Amino acid sequence: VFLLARIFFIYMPSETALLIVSCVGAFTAFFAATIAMTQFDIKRILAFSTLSQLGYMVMAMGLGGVDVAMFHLTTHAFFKALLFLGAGSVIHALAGEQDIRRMGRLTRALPWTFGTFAVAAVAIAGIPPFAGFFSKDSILAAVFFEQPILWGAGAFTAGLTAFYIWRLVFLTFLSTDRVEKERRGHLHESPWSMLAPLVILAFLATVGGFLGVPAFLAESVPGLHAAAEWLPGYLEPVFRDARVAGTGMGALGFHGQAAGHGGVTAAGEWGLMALSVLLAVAGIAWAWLLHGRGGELAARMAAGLGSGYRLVRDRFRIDELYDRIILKPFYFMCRAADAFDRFVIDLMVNTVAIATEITGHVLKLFQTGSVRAYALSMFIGVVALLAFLVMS
Amino acid sequence: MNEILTPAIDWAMVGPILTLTVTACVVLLVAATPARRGPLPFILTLAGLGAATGSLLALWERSVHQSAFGNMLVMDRAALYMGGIVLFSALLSVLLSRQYLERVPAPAAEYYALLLLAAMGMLVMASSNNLLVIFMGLEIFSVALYVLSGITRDWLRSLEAALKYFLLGAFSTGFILYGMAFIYGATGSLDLLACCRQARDLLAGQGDSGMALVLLLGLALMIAGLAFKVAAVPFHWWVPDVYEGSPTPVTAFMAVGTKGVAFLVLLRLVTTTFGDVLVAQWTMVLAVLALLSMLVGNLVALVQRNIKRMLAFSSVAHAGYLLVAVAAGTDLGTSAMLFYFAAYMLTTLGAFGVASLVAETTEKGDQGYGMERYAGLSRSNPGLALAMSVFMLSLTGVPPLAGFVGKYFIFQAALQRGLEGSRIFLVLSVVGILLSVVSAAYYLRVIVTMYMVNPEGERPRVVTAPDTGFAIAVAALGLFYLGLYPTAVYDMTRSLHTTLQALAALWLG
Repeated sequence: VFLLARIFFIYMPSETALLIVSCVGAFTAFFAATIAMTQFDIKRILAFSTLSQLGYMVMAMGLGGVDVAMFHLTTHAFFKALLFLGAGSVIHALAGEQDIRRMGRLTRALPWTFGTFAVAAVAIAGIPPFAGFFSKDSILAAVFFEQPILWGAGAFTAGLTAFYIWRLVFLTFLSTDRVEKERRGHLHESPWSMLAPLVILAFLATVGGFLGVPAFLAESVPGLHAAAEWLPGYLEPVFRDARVAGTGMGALGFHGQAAGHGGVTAAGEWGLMALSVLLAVAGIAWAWLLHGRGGELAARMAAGLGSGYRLVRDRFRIDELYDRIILKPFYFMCRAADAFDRFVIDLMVNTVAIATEITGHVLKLFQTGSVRAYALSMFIGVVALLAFLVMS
Repeated sequence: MNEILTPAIDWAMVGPILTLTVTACVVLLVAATPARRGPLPFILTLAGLGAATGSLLALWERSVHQSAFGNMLVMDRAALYMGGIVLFSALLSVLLSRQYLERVPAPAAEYYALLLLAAMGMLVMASSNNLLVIFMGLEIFSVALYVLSGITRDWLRSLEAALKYFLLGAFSTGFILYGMAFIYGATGSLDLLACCRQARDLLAGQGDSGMALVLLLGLALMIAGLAFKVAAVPFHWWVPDVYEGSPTPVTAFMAVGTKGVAFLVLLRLVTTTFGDVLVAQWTMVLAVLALLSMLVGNLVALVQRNIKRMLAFSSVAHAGYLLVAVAAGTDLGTSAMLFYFAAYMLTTLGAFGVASLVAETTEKGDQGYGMERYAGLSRSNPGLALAMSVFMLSLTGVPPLAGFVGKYFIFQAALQRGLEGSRIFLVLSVVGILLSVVSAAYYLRVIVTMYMVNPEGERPRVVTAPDTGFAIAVAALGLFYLGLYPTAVYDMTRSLHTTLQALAALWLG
């Protein structure tokens, strides 16, 4: 993401390039989110979540919102790091268990872990005033005015995000106790060395959003004026030249405020914000319904969706695809190269060496030890010499 | 009463030769006394060699061309350089011999005397411009070496070596003499310089054309005879058997000395006498000899398991490299040959020296020259192993050792001729370099055996006397010196080619 932002000025002049970037970003966000909904390994879910959020950032950049993307990168860092460390804490407490189907009812045993994890989950879902809300909303607002279709995908994905992250929370910490018996005894909250970072990050995930409060909001709420758009202001020198040189999409700034872009009203902004929050809450509610108190409803739904569900759960079988079309041919080439090296190249080299040695063995046979033979050979040599000299 | 007019004798000129002769006689006298068993012969020999070297060095400072005895003895730079090499190698050989002689059934005092006489003969041959004096020197050292190679006469191998050397040596001496006779017949002079003028006249068409043919035959026969001494193919057959059978320090001296002076005479012959006559012919002849020597020497050395035989074939190969330089017939070629010869001297003496130490020498015979004897030498004698590695690497031609510099010069000379249009030299260069690579296989095999092969059982430590160790160390260090600072020695060889040709010009002009 950092690299994309840095080289923004390279692809910015091309409308096609920008379009491709934003579409890829939007697609990634949606695609990864759907997979995250069906996974059972804590870290896998978080990994696909990361992928999805990165998609948001890329999408924003394709529409010229480089500083918005960087803002989301920052807040994402806060809550994603928190999520991962929290997951680590849980895994540590359960002596290595990573499958959320074998967790549950951990709030009492791991209060701090749960608390900070929940803060992160709220942040990523996009609930104000936590960090994720401001950054994700900035992106969605910017997208709405440029490519409403992409906005639709992004908004829907936001709902999915809320769903899958709270599915994770419910199945891990709440719902029914599905922990394996042997691990129960091991259950313990992590030491302060592990909890301290969680707390710090939770704090950042809570207040981090205020780094980039949009201007219209800052004016509305008293006291926020000073913090208005601090981050974009800070990053402005980096992207200013690119933006000035650009047209249309490239000139986009926070919330569409930039040259040549009108049509954005405060009301529109508020409306979009409300919509975002609504989607987030809906996602959380849906997650609670399915997994809050045991997963029979989820299981029935999964069964009902059948092969479609299985496809998503198996991550669209992309790994298998890669294996088939990339890895297998590659290994084949490696084996072929090895065979070539051993049977062709080595053959040639060794043949030369062996031929030389055989020649040596043959020549050595002439050294008979017989003085008469030697003298004869010398005599022949002299005759040959004479003949040559006389002829020429 | 008429006074007997004595010719003016330049005593300084014959200083080295005279010193060696006198010392040899003294040692022979000592050999008749009970003192022969003590250290006296050894000390006397060293003293004599030292004195000879001193007088040689004194001659270096004098004028570039000095002659005595009616131009029969010529102590020009070339003669002094090769003479220096001969004396240096004699010194090192003597140092290597003492420890060896303690274990062998050979009369030590006579050994030293013969060695001194051989050195003297080599000096005579090197510093002469007269065919007959060349022959005289040749015979002196040849006969001395025949005896030396068989001096351990209780050993069958040694006798075999001596007899083979004698028979084949006599055969080749016949060639040389016959060639000299033809040249004398064609040119009417024994002096190389005078021959030069006559040769040119003959081949320019003046004089009897039949004599031109005779001259040609003479050249051919002389090259053949010298090629024997130099160990060029197809005159090299004696080398493996004689090198293997002779006592190792003798082999060392033989390998260096005879080759050196024979090469020098060959050089004089083709540069002075036949400098600009028949050039294409003798170049081709020498080039072919070089090619065959490099091929046979390297390829057969590859499959030897006895280190003395391996070194013998390696010296055949080196004769090939040196012949390339001589065949080039340029200033660079001459300098390259002489410089590389200095490096060759050090490696040969050093390698044979180590071989003589590592071997198992008893009253009964000389064993332990098989390659397996070197396994684990790095652990039992790290110093010797290191020295041997230096010698092997120099023979291969690895920088920064002298062997690399020498080979570089030689191939530079060859390529110079080759790029001028002489295709045979391109062939020689390519083949020579490829064969140098092949030679790495059998030289490095020794190093690998010493450092990476485990001996069966415990390898006993080789006892090295201080003088032997000193000689080996000098050889190894000398290789580094020559390799890193070649200029000092190289300058001595510079423009010798032109000098040798200039002598001819003097006479012609």
